[in-house]
Amino acid sequence: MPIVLEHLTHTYQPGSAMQATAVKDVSLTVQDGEFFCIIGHTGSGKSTLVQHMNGLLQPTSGRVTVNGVDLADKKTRKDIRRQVGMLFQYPEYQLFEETIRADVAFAPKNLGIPPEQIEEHVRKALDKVGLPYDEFAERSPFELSGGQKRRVALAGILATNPSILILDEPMAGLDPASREDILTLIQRLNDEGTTIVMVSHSMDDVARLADRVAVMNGGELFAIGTPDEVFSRSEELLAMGLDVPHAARLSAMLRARGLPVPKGLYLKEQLRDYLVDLYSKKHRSGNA
Amino acid sequence: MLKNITLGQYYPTDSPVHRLDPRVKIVLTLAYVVLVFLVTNWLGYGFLLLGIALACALSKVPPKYLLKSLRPLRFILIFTFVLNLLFTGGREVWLEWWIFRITAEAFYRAAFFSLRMLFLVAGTSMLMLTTSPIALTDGLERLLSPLKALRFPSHELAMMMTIALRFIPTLWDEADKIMKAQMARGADFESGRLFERAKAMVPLMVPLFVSSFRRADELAMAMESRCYHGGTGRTRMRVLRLKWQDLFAVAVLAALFAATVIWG
Repeated sequence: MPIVLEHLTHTYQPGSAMQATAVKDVSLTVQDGEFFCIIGHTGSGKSTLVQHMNGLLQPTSGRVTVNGVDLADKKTRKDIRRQVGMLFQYPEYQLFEETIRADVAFAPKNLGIPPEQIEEHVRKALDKVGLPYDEFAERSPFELSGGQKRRVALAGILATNPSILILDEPMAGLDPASREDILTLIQRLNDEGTTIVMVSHSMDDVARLADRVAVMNGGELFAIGTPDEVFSRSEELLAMGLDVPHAARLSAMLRARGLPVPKGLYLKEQLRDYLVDLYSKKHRSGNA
Repeated sequence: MLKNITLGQYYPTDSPVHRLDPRVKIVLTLAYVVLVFLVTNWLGYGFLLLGIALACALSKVPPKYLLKSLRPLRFILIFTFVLNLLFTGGREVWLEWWIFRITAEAFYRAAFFSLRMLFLVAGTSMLMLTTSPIALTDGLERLLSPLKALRFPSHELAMMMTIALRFIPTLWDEADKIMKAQMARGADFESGRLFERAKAMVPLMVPLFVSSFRRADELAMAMESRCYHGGTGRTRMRVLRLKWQDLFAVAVLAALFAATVIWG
């Protein structure tokens, strides 16, 4: 079920002295099963944008539909929130229950999963995030490590079997091992058919995983396309003050030095192969 | 959702009244409060009105804001007025109905007490509108510092107030974030009856408490690692000094005081 944003504009506190337009006239479509990434500066409107995708924020003007259902309609809200799971930044701070089981069961309980099925949903969700139910269900979420807490929070979202998952910087502040765990998990969910919308600052992750990338700048949609298309504009992204994948940054620097590095090399494997190729050609012609 | 809050009443701008020493403003406000109670006739209220109008004009605070600060008072004001009107004895009867009797004396008394209340709040609002919360605690700390001899922890009190004020916006933001996160998990903060609503607050309050304690802990650590050890021997970045404007403000209030005592 595609997410369609049409001319979405969001203004905070319209009419007051602190009026601020966070998102300006953004139109885009996220396709079924897609891994869609959103990048941009802090304050570029990414978080505001994604909070429209499950009806947490209502557009000041424009329209948001998920699978044809207009999110302005309050009656569909429960349904939408069951289908569109949303993980906020530092989600471990939203844990509140006494046991992990109860915390993970919060969303299914609220969103109309039949009571007799909840236990099963909780078990599956915990297993998905790699926290065995039998070992963790009765423990307090507050005694876990940071990475484990985040996984419990993610399980709390997965427990309703959402077909769309919105993730706002899901790896922020994690150690490398936990990062990799979460990333692998997200990738697996996507492979199993879940649509992923991920806000991220890590361009290497985006380059590796995204089917398509949207770049936000000052509340406007600056660019949208495949990682190939977007990262071939590395110079523009860098000028905007955004990061680009390490490989793209390196090739931009090499281009600036006059090397004929083509645009669109943003994975380190691609760049490595290209450079090795270039070097060996040069070497041969130099010897001849 | 939770964005529409202003902290206290402070109206940020730059004006002679805003620039006054907060200590002076606090003392003058206290004097003004005493003055309000000394007023015995309408002329006295005239003087007060003049004083408030002068302060308001000099402070560049739109009169609308000052009037808005009186709004929460309306119920208690009506209550006082009606009570005084109905239950004050008197001879010159205007109206009589069932057990109620409204007399001219009662009307004047009701109006007088209502005005007293209005002027009290208007004066203290002037202080709040023109003094930032931080300046206010600063001034309060200095004014209370003589009490240190009696072991009154004036510095600690001011520090606590400053920290509390500093964290109000942070906590609002945090509450907003947690609320959204729980709403994404289907929490409903908006409907249901009183008891259900109170119960619905648990998923908000628990994380908020947890993070407040965490923040408090982190702040304490940060302060200690910068060698904070209370108020003794601490110097200030912005030293409060009396200027001629402060003396002028004192003079104006003294004149008002004298006029009220003599004629009002």
